[in-house]
Amino acid sequence: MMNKKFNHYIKNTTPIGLLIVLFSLSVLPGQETNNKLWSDGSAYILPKKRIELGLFQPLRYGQSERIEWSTHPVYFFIIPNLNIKWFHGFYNDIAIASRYSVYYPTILLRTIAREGTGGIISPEFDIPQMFGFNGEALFSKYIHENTLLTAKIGLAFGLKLGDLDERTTIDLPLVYDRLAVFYHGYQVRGGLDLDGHLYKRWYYSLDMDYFYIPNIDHNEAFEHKGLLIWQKSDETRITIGYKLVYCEYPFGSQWHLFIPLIDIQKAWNRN
Amino acid sequence: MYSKYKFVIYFITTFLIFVICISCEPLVTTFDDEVNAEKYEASSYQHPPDHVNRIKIMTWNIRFGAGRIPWFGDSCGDRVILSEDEVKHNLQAIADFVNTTQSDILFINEIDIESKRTAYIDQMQWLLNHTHFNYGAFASNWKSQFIPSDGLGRMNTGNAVLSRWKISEAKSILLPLRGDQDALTEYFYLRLNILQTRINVPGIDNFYAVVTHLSAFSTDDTKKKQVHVVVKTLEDIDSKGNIFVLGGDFNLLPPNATKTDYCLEDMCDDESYHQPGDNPQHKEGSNYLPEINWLQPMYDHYQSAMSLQDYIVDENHYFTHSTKPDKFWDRKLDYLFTNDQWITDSDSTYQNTSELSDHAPICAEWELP
Repeated sequence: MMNKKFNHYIKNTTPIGLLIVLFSLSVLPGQETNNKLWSDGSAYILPKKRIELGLFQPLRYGQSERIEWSTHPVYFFIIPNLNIKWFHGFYNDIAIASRYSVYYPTILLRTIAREGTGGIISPEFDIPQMFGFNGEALFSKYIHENTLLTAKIGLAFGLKLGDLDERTTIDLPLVYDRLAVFYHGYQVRGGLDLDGHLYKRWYYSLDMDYFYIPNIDHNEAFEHKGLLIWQKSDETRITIGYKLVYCEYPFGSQWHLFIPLIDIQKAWNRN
Repeated sequence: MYSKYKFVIYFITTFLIFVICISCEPLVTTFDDEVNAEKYEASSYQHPPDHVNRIKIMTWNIRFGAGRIPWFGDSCGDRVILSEDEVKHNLQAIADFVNTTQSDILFINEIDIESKRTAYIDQMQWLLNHTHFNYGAFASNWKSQFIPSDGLGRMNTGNAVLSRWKISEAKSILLPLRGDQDALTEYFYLRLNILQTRINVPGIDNFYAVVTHLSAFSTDDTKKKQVHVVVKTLEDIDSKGNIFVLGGDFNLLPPNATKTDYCLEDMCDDESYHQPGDNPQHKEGSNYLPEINWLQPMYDHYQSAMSLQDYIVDENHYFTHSTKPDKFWDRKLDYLFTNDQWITDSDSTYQNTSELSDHAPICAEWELP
């Protein structure tokens, strides 16, 4: 168990209460809209009409001063997905936003439930129609001139239109915890991001995410990512880093380290 | 300003070193030629006899507690991932049988300790806790975090020795890998072994119990090479004046077996063999003719619990395997050997276990020198 005190708190927090918090964020009065040039895990959104795309990053689009859309284009045809980040304004120098996602994993899961090589799920099981939903509140504050701290908390839900056998779980890092909502209904998520400037064109980004499903065994996951960013220009940047994952699986808990994470991101403005 | 940047860089560097140093399990575990085996103890100790004149040895391929469920990999079935209830039901039947026979040492092939196909049940610990054995040793021969084929997922299965008495030494000796597979398949495939244990049997201080499992589906000379390594390993024990018993599923017929081709018996509904134009002509692992003499070195060097003379008199009596649940045992693949002497006529083939596994256990008694 990672943090019993936190578990205790979460166990005693109703998901309905968290939902209310999320929805109430959407009606907070906006004070001053603010953007950062590059999108990240903070409450800030892309400038209006700016588009970003990375090899492993989603396609992002700043629709307005308050709305940012994103989707993973590479995965879109096997996991249709859409995300919206909604900037709500400032409260005591804290930028506040909410982020909502919907995705449809059925196509992918049915594709990999097959015989032979590439069979990630046993073909003996049926995969029903499933939809995933995430809702998250983001709170960002500059704790120093060039250092932005973001706190996140949210809920994920899984909706399925049929029985899903628990033996279809994919017991792999980054996958097991994300698909867990389809076996257990919902999941609480929280995290911290730290983004800052290092030197000249060099930036860093550190984040931690925590996933928790109440009332079951093997119910926790923790992810941490560290990135070093070289910003060639306002249109191009290259990132290199690592991702560390802890997860409790049906067979026990494990740590995994993914290194290196390399990505190239391009951005441009839509006229 | 300088100190702030220094702090940030120091923080990032320290954390990078920290995360890189964390030990991570590889996707597939490959094994050195010799590695220590994993030791187990039962949750409660059952006092074994302090003095023994003879010990009863049994060997059994328990088919990972799948009973006769039509698993896709070995019986033309379509099942892959068993439920916890199914596995525990089958394990209970195996434990009940083991408790009835009251052997002193049990060799096991195909025992899972952390596999998705068997609901991640640690079958070593489960059997120790549900039988009269106190100690165990396990040597993995197929260990992968994830097998991306047929939904198999995580796998950890292998050979085991269960004993009433303490196991003082346990090591795993790697057998040659199959030579007829492409590199990718080989990477995710079994790495068969010999599990060599030293057991503190009362009254004898140099007793070794050894279990092995040879390749089931190789179509080249892999099994011949594996027998060679088994013989060499036993020679090493023998040359130091030690006593051993060895058991296991050799996936080879006795050299004087009268029937050597089981392609038609093992054929699935959508397969065809022996017909003009069939390619291959023989089913993997079912044509024993090219390898019929490969077990001979074991008979040349050591004493089998079942002599070849006895076998040829009544082959059916010694059969230990069949691939399909609706067919009774139709071939002998499991053996017991020693460099000492088995007690005459002490061997048994428990053919009343056809619901418990696709192999029948065999047993023999051995008298202390």
